[in-house]
Amino acid sequence: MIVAPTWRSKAYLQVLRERGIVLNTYMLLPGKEPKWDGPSLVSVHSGGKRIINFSPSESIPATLEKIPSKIVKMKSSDIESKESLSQIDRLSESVIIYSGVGGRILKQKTLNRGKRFLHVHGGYAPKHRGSTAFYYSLLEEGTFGVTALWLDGQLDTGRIIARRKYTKFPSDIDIDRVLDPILRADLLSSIIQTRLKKGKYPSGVLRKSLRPAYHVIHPILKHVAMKRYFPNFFRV
Amino acid sequence: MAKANIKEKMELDSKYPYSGKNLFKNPEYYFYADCSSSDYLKNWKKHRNKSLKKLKQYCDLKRSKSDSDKITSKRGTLTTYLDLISQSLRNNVLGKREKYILLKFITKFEVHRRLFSYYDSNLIRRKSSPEAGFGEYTYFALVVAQCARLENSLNYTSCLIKLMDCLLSIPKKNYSYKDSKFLIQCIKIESELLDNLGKGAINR
Repeated sequence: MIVAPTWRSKAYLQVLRERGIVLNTYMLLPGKEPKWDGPSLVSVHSGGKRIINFSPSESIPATLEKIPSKIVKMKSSDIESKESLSQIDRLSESVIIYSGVGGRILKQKTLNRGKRFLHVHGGYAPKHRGSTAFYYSLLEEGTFGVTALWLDGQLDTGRIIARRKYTKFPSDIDIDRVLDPILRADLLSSIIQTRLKKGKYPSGVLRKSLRPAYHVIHPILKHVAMKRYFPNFFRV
Repeated sequence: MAKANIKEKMELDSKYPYSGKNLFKNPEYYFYADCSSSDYLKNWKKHRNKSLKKLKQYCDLKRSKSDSDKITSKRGTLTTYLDLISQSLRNNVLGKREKYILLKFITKFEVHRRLFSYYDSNLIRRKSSPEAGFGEYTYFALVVAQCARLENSLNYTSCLIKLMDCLLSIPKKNYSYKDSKFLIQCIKIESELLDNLGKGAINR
């Protein structure tokens, strides 16, 4: 797994650890982790089912400490720099789980190196692809979709491995920093568990969409979505 | 009394976080924007209502010296492309080609926060093109607003609100009579779209 210092990486590592899933290699991108100012433990559940008690303030190195895997410290924070690509080339694994910095589309020069990149998008693709897609789907359908796909150099158009829609969330949860990363981690762990049982990842299904990709949602629309589905999150 | 009014004005302006600075010179991308205040929507409405009031006053002032409402466009300009979309909208429909053009310009604005005056037939900006003027931006905002209303689209609505944040962030002396009229229409459509959203009437 490529691990950037983000909320998503924290979520991935904690959920996989809790479910006993250990990857061969973790490649840590340098950088400062975001700061958490909320409660030390956040209970995340959906549809009445508990997903995890997430600890957003736990650092990535602390989570990885007890995992018996190879940890590689990347020399550059840019995953597509010459140094980073050379480190990726030296990996024996053919599949890399991508938890890089958000908003970046990997170029073909990175994707054409004999590795497949598995990404979990926060939206039910192809209908909801692009940035902050989950807010749009909350407003349109009241659901939070997540899609695991193979990166193909375009925006969330790769072959789809699995998709899921989540509903009924805690009404006071932080969407950006907790819910979105944890739901992605939940789907990711299911896919890896299936891979461990079947011996390989599925090649995925190509689903074409004529719908345009979404852009970062304006905070007014985000506020409306939050008010409707997470009314106890607001500060007075 | 004058000091109290200025202070009140500043307070009103400062509560909506995207007022008070020129968003064309200092682009805002709204990544991880904090909108967790329970007064957030109220502050936005106040900001827009205040702008609407000023624009109406400005229109009344400028009415006698008004420039023509007719938009004149040269071939290969942003305005020409917006005219195409406007013509389609007159029939209450957004055609496939017009939608494609609209989405291209929305993407350009969303990604770069800039538009230019001249584009080729592939919608690539011409190298020597100056940046779009205020009038072109207000026309673009009006077209996006009308398309957002026609299709009840959240994608277009989000872009519209960002455009309006930019347009209302610059000093009012830059507005012509026509620009002011366009902006008044845009604010009204914005408000209508948000009201519909509140009632749960959403398309995509």
